Amino acid sequence: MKKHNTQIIIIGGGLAGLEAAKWLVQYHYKVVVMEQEKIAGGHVVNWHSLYPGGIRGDELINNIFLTKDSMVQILTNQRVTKVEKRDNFFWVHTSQGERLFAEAVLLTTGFKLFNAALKEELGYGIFPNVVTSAEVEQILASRMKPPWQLPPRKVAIIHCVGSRDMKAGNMYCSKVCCMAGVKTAIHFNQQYPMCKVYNFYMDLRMHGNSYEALYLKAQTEYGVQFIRGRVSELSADQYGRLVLKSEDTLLGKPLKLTVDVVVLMVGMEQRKGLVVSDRGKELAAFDGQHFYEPLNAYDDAHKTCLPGLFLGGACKGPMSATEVIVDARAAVQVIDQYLQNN
Amino acid sequence: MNKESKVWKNYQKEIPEDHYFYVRSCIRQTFFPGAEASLLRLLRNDLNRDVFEDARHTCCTGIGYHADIIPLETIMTVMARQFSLMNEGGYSNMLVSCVTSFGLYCEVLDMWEHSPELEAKIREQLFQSTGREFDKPKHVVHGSDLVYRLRDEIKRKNVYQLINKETNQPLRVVEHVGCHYAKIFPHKSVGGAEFPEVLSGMIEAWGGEVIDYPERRHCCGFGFRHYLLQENRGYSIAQTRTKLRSMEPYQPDFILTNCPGCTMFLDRWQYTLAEMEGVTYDQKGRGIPVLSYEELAALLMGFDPWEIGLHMHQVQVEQLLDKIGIRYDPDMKYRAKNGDYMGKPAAPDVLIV
Amino acid sequence: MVKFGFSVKDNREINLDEKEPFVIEAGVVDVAEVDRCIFCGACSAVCPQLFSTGLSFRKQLLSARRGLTSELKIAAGECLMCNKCQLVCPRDINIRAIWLNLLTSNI
Ligand code: SF4
Ligand code: SF4
Ligand code: SF4
Repeated sequence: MKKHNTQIIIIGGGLAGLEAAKWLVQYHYKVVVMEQEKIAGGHVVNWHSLYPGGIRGDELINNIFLTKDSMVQILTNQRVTKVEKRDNFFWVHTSQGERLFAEAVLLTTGFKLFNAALKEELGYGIFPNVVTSAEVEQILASRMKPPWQLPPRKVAIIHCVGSRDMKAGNMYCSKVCCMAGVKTAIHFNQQYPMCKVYNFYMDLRMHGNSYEALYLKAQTEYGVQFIRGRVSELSADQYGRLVLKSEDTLLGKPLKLTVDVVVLMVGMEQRKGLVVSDRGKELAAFDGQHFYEPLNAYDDAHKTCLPGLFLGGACKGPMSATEVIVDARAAVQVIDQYLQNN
Repeated sequence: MNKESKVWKNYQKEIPEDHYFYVRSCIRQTFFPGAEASLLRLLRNDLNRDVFEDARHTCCTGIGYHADIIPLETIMTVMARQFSLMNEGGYSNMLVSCVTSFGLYCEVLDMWEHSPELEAKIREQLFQSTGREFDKPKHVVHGSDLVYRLRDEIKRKNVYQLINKETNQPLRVVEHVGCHYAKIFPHKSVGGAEFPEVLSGMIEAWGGEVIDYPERRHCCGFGFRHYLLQENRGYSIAQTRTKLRSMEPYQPDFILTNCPGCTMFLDRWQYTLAEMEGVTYDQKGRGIPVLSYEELAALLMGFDPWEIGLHMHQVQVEQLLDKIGIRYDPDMKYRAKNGDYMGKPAAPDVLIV
Repeated sequence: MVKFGFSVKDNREINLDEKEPFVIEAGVVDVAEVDRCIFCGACSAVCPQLFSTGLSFRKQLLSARRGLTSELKIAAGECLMCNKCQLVCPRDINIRAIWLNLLTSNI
């Protein structure tokens, strides 16, 4: 049967890549997932909980593997450097100098987190109790030791770090961090019942079913204070606590607040370092300066300008875990159609 | 604080060791004339550096510019003339005394970078008005940059250290870096604008402890128009009060600055605040002494406090001199070099002198 | 004392360290109810008094949250009790009742 010999290479073994692999295998394709880290699972595997339901990240990834088929081959510690299109097939090159054959390639390279140290005014990397949202997920999931010794009494959560920021070069909203910020506020309250949490936001983007309800819950059940304003200066006081400066923009007044812990809701960025070429010519659309653009955003949201090269998940732009799953499944159907017609 | 952070390493500017054309600060000449004299003496005599001055150089007009009474093209032409004088003396590195000037030199050069037609126009104007031409400087360096660069060399020549003689503990120092030193062009500074290194590097090299206080980056309150007009001074002093209040709980031994304006306002407004509100920001009612980096360097190298003009300060420095163990003759404080008594300023009502 | 011809300008800062977010006394106001507010300004937009006295429930409630309560009682006195605000509030806050309770309370 033709199908069994058809090899599809998926670049990126995060949520999108694994989900797509799982389904492509059901269609009887031969699938290889290339993952650059030691283990597959991407960002999600470290996540303490994913909204809206609060599932643990590793649980979600394990669920995919429960239906794992021997036909999925996951190669870890494999960094893909180049995807090269030949007449009717692809060569996928790795940093170890290997070359793999593929009839179709799916890019599920995901995103990288914004380097919070670039927003110098927020003191990341300078004050130990300034942590990123990704670190908090690991701390709450007990995968990482918290930098604080005593249970924090006051916590500030700062939204939009590296997103919606022309100077950071990211003129987009990272979409998930508002919700994650509200979720994190609740988790801090649950883990440290004496804790008071303040969320500093520019706009609260509660864009899905049940998200607004969680926001309401944070307000009424946990007394989370939402302050509209961007924190623009952070320093330490004599006891090592963190002093924030912001404006309460709804009152038009400067605001000062001292907290024990600051959480930076870091945004998503495109990864760099992958070259895509078409018969020797490098394609500028894949230079890693921007999220990858599909043919269009409507009914060709998985195809690229190269037939046989497909996109899935957050390499196209910020997505939540639920959206990634839907998008990966949709990509499977588009790839199957392409291979059937070839 | 984690000083290994990349943030510091991102802001390391190139500071030549030697051969500078020096431009003075007008306001420093009047507020603290000894500071500038001690910088030159220190560089030339003690560190054997070649620092050249041309008596024809003028005010950079920066204060007038920021107070909205000097047009941009005028200030550019004035600066172009200084460059021309620098070329004439055979120099290509500029050493700027004042932070306002430093920020403006950087800004003007940056504007020319972006609009070469503006530069061409200024060249034309300078030529028409003075017959001069000029090359742009290779390096624009602030006085504090150079002292920072030479801090270890200065340390080797230091007679005193920033150590409390009684307790043997490092002195607790708060620093305030002038806004225009790094906030306009962070990459033209040492350490950037958020966590500047230029003064804290000196403090640490000379044995003191740097106190990171919450309003470290707050403006000193100079604000140009806000100080120059009497009606507006309430805004200026309010900013200084914010800073002083923020430092107070740390009980710092002194404040270190790198800008003539900052030294002035952090020092003099302590007197004004004491008169207006009855407060001083230390426990003994004497205020927190304020030193500029050159005054500090000179003191530690054993210069006589009165020779470098420390009696011009509003908050008296003796408490600090005693802590470090610097020897001085109280009797000489108000005497001119020839020994003539200059008279003693009237004592304020609140601040203890 | 010396006359300087100027005075130190006031500090307009909200200091959340000194002023814990104001919790309106239980009994006067249902705390869980005011916690729901999202400061959208729907209430104040339709308030007839916004046009004349500048009355804004949104602003007063938010100020109170930040510990600034000095204008609360005066504001309550400005309310015409017309109930237009409650009609439009997306978070269903009974604003008129809050004003009424504030008027008779000793806050
Ligand atoms: S989702 Fe919220 S926090 Fe994230 S970038 Fe968008 S507005 Fe900012
Ligand atoms: S009830 Fe009071 S606050 Fe509400 S709209 Fe009427 S006047 Fe305004
Ligand atoms: S309409 Fe309701 S939710 Fe909106 S500001 Fe007024 S009270 Fe708050």
